Amino acid sequence: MRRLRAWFSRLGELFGKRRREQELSAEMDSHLQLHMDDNLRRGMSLAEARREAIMKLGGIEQTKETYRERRRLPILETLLQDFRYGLRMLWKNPGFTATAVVTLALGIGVNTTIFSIAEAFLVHPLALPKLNRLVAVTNGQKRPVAPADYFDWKLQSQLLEHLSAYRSLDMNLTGSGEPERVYGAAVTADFFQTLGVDPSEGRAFSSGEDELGHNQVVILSHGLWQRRFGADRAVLGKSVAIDGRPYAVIGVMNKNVEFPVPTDLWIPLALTPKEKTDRGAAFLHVIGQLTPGAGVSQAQAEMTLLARHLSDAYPLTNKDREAQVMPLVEFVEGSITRAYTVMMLVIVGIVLLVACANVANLQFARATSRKSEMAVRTALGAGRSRIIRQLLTESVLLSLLGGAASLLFASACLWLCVSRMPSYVMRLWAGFDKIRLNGWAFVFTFAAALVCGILAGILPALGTSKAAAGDALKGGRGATASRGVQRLRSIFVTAQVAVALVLVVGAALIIKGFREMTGSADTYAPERVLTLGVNLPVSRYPQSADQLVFYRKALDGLSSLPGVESVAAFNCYPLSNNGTSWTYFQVEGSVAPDLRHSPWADTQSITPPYLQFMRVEVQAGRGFTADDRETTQPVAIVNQKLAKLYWPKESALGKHLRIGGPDDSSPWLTVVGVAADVLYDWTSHVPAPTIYRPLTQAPLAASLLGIRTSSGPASLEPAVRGRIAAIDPDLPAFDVKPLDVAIHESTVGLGYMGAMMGILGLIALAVAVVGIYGVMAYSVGERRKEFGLRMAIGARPRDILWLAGRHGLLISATAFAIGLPSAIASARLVASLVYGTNPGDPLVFVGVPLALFLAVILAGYIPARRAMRVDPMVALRYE
Amino acid sequence: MGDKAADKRDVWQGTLALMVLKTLEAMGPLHGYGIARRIEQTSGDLLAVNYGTLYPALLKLEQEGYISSEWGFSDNNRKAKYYKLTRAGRKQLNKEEREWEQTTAILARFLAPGEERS
Repeated sequence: MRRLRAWFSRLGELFGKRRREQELSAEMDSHLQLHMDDNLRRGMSLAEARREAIMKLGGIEQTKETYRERRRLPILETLLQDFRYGLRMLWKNPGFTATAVVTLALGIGVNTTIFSIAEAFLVHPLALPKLNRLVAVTNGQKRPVAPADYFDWKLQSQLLEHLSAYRSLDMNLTGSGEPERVYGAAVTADFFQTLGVDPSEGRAFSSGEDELGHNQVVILSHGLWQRRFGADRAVLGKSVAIDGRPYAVIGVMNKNVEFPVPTDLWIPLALTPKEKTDRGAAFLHVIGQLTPGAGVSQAQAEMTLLARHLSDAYPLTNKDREAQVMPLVEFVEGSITRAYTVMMLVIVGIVLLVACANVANLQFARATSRKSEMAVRTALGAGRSRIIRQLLTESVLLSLLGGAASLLFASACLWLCVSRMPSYVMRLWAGFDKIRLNGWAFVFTFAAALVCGILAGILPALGTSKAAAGDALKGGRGATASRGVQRLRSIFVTAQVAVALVLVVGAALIIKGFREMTGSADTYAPERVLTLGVNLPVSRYPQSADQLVFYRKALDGLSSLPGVESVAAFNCYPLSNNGTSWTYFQVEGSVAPDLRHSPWADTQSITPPYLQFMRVEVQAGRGFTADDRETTQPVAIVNQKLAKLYWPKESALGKHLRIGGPDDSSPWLTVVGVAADVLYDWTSHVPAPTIYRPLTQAPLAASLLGIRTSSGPASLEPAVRGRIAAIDPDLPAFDVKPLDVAIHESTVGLGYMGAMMGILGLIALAVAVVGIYGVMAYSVGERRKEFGLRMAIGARPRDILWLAGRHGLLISATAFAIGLPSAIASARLVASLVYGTNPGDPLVFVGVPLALFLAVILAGYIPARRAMRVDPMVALRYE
Repeated sequence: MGDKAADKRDVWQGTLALMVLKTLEAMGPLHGYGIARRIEQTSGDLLAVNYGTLYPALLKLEQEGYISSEWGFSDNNRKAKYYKLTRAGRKQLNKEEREWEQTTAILARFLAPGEERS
């Protein structure tokens, strides 16, 4: 208490300084007077009395100084002093300050950007109040759960409350306006209780509404309510048609809640009695709340036990089936989001270190020119710690300025990130709409700036203060930086160049890979293709014959549009990222022993013109024709990859394969053609084995339709919707867009990676070039006299150039010796994370280092050439 | 500013503070010079107080609220700053006196037999 009081009193003394000073002087005077009076009384002379009094006091100034130290808070005082002084010094060196601040602003800014993104993706991607208490329970690997297992868990788990289940379904919403394909979720009645949220309008599901017969109710998402119903409250109680069935609107969900991501509407999950007892078909996602006090690991232990009981009780279906508990945050994050985000965090961290090294180097350089200032300060009694503190304060000040500027840079970056992302893609990405500079980002930036300031300042401060203590006032004579400092700076620059090399190579690999991949799309001439999706609801298209009728009508309708060259139906376009569907299959003559050892392939159900439509070459055999009907011999076309894998030595034509596991009894398909490989899912690096089947023999409820036109197809969109509506007015055509747009949207995340890597690489490169230039310029500046002297005694300019440039060459060579192997190693890492990257790209591994080397040599050559031009007379006159 | 010097001064200041408080209790309001003289005299001139160290100690006590100060005039009409004990100071003095007595008693017990043995 008393200490605090004293502290406050001292804090108060920071103000009203002058009055206190006067009072102190008066007290000292009065003390001396009183003492002198005494002394005079004892018979001393006036001079003697005064001398004795001062001596006894121990010196007036010393006393005052110790008094002052006690009076105020010296640390804070000097800190303020240092700050003021530091600001003045920075102000006086605008060039230095600007370079350092910009370097730091870029370095910290990219970190703040990635931090904000990482925070949104990995920490709170969902705006749910109890997010950190929510978990998902899966069968491992985020696999869905069978209904009967879910009901058993719900009954038996003690540590998980409100265990609820949902499944995501695409639904057709009709009634009041155009039919629309929406993201739907069928959820158990207590689903919103689990999430801990309430509808903003109306009510949530009540128990019993997730039973058949009571389940015709729907809750709209805020977004859908605004978009489709004009945020009209009157919609409550009204009926909308979902997949042809009427549902009463009972609520509108709170604005920020969209779980699962994305969701337009929620309906009750009403399972049939048969489904409820099914342990075979797993299609439910299960979420729950940890009971107070329970952690994920305890819940996991409990669920493991329950899973084991089920495994014992139902070995036929549940043998070795696990139950994995994971935080909901982890559950919703994209499969590659964490790896990408962490990779970016590491990279920006490295960029920041490079920036710090650069600022440290700048400070070393400046320290050389501030040598005499430091010497004077030392001579006037500044201790080493005082000088270190001063220099550190300046460095921190510098980085705080950089940090402030970085916030501007970061907000610009974030704005770019969010504004360039197609809103449709953004919705699919948990957390993307939560990206912003929030309080944490500010705290992070401030902390990063502080750390940077200390990191960048500590070595220069130590070095400078040591030099100051040694050299004192010797002045400019022989003023080269100490060898240790010089070596340190060279190490910094070497590291910078090496890191820049690694980053630029990485960036070039990613960008080139991305460009090649999207460039490969050109072979499909995607800008002249319009695709649209349809999803035929079982309620109105129960039989595959019904579906085929629809497809035939739709394709006929579309082909009669003006400018249309050809039309086709298929399930997935090239370079998509989630559209492929795959299946196990069996090869005649080598049927796998069990499902786990069965081969698998992507499947596509296509209409005969498809291969030609998408410019896929038929390499052997034939394409499908109109004669491949429901009733004719079942046929298949395989891609080259599959053919090579399973019939490596002979022709695949005429061979037989069968869709499904070893025990399935689907008919044998005869291979009638081999098609060229197509990369349908870019996230799989390479084309997957693919089996094409005629749509007539393998009809699907969900399909893509495509039209190839002679000119830009976007203008045909209304006409396309019209044709579909003419066949079925309640069926929405969704994702109606040109194929090039669709491909762009599916690869945009990778494009982001490429762009960010490019920016980071450029920053690192610029920083490294500036760094090497700075070091060379200063070392040349410091050695002017030496060069002058050498020239005076007959050295040729060429010798001087070599002398000056040698250092730069050494630095570059060392940096490349370290950087190139690291780049090769990290390229493998990058390639394993970033799709489409070729870690052995010769062009990148020769071209980029060469360009970098030239840049670095040039940056070093300019100052070295200056050394060559030193006028011996001028240089020597400095002495 | 060295650490060792600070340690020594703190120890000294600890006892010095006690002496100042005791002096003020015995003498009533007194100026800095008077306090210094009084401590010197009481100690039988064994303690040669560097008067300069007294003032930071006085300031510390004032900051902690144990003493208060105001300007006044000395007997021979010199302007001087007078310090006097506050209520908190009196309490603190009692406490410190007790502690000091305990410490010295303990130390005395330690030292006495030691002397006999040697």
